[in-house]
Amino acid sequence: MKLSALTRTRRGRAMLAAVPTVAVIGVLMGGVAQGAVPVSMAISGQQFKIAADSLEGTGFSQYAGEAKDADGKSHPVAIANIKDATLHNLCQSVKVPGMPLGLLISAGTNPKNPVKATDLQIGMSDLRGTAQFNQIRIGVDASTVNTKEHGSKGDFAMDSDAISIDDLKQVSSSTSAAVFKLTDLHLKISDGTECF
Amino acid sequence: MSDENIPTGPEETPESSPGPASGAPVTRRRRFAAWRRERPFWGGTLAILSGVVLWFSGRLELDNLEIQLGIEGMQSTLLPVALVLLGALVMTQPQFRVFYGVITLAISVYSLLGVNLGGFGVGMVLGVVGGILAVSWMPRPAADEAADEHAESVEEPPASEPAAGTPADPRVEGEEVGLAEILPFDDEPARGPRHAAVIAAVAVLALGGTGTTAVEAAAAPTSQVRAASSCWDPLGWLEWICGSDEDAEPTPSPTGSEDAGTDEDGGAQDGDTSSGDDESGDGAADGGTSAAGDDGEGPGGDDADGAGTDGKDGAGKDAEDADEKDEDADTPAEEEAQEEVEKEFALELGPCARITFGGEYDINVSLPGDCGKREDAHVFSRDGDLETRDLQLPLTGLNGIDVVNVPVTNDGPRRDALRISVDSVKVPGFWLKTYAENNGTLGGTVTNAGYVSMEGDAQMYISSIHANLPDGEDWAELGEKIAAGASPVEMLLGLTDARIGLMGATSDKQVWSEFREQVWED
Repeated sequence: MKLSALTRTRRGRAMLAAVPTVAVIGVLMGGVAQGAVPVSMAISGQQFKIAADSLEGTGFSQYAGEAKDADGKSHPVAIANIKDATLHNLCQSVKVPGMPLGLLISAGTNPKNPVKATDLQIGMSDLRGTAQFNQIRIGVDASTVNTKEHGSKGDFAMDSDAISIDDLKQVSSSTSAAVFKLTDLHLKISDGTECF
Repeated sequence: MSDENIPTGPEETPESSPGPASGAPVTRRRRFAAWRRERPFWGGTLAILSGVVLWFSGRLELDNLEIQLGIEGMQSTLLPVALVLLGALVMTQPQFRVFYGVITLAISVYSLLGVNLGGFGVGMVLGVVGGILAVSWMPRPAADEAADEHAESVEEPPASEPAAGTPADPRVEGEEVGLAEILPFDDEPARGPRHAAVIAAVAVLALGGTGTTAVEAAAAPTSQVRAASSCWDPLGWLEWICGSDEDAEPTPSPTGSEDAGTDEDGGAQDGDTSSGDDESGDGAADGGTSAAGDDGEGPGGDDADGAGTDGKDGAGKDAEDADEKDEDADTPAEEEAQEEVEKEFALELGPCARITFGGEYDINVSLPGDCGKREDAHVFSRDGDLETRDLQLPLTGLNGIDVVNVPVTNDGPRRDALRISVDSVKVPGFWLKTYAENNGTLGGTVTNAGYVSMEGDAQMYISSIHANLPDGEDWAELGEKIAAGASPVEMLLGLTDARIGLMGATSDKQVWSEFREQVWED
């Protein structure tokens, strides 16, 4: 079929537009799922849960911040920054309140191919696990922590050169990462099932 | 089938001619239908919709808009806004539909990487379908208007540009033909309303089901990369379509629900215990902070401080006298032991540390003054409240205990802290409450842990200690220990049920075992 014949009809034009587009999307999706193509995420406003078998990171700090809830009321959260994080068997879930509907994301299920995140910032209200820190400082002022991002003067804060958390379970109300390599990504609409 | 659909309407006319509306009075609905027919309405609508979906994929609360700052935040704000604008523009300026449509396609595809996986797939698919509809839209041939083939050829370059990229996969072609069949690519006016219904159905399908046709088509070009399956589904987005396949695999949902079940039990217990802790902690914390406030009157009022603490000493002793019912009788041995402890403290820590006895706890140490050795390694803030069953440390690991004067951001520029340096210390039954201020409301975190251990050059900066004598140990025994040469520090570290005003702690290595950190607010 000649090009001019294609461009003359709506169907032909739709094909011309659609074929390369879907090809690019297909390649990108394959790349994202293999962790070769990083994505950027920024979610806030609703509580969601994150679980991971382990998290290893460098450049950690934590201090108080605030998040807004559904009523527009601001309430405190603990803001954790991790410069470089590696997560094994990551699970992230959001539930639509009052409905058996949610979103369940899993990634990094292959131990040899974990999820990697850069400039990870999490606003959390609950964190569980067993943690190990290297070169930790607890109680320093939030404006003097050793990370790029820092809190406001007068707040209790902590930082460490390295952090590792096993059996991580956390409830967060915001997360953002400049670079997120979600290997073995599996994203599905769930019936409201959550990570924990 | 649609080869006769060669567009004949001039590109520039759509806005200028009201079409059928110019004739006899027509209903509003008909006018809208006519208006709609003159522009890539569905393409624009889907593009706007995709922008809205992408916008809210990052902001899951509808009634609580939050603008995110920073590079990541900019993407998740800018791209949805651009899509909405493009959708509106392509409807108002149909003559630029190819330009707007191609940009819409490019932004939609990029949203996969830039905005939460393309609004978890939905926004991206809407934008792609909208972009394709916009690019492929052509004005209807108006029977009473002359054909204008030239407009067609003008548009060829941009339209053909993307075609150079990929050879058409037969399967994709098939898919697209299928897509084209259901979309209103023919233009018999009589079928207008039905088209609208079909388009609406496609839009709903795309919204609810992540656009089956488009995603399937998307999968096709790379299907050779993966094991060929009738449902190529690398991201698991199509599980509910490819259900039979996927069900064979262990899907996360059953295990997930099991997890949820067991964990909920655990969670409930946790919640119970922690809420109990919180209550006790709150009560205790109130006492603690007010006491700290009394103590920390600042360096200026040394005299007043002295008087205050003297008074407190007296009060403490009175209270301790009053406490006699709890404690053993106020034997001379006890007073002697207390005097001994005080003396030892003064000897070891100088006049900066003040020790009192009795009250809620057997022994209270505070540092009201501003007279320690200056140390500027760290800037501290509000004290945290640390509670522990006892402090365990190997006696050989104790490197020193002294009073240092450190910079703080609350309660004046500097204040005294008791610095305990140890090689390693283990804090069982760890409970730490931290404080921060947000717009006038006080909040912070409460952390429970099975134990916290610090190793390697551990330093604890302490502003106050309240603790009890170990069970089964009375003052007489303590006096004997002191007399036998035990340092007050050893004595302190042997205390139990300690409540410590923790300014800070640093160490090379630190383990928080089975901890749980929760945010609290007033």
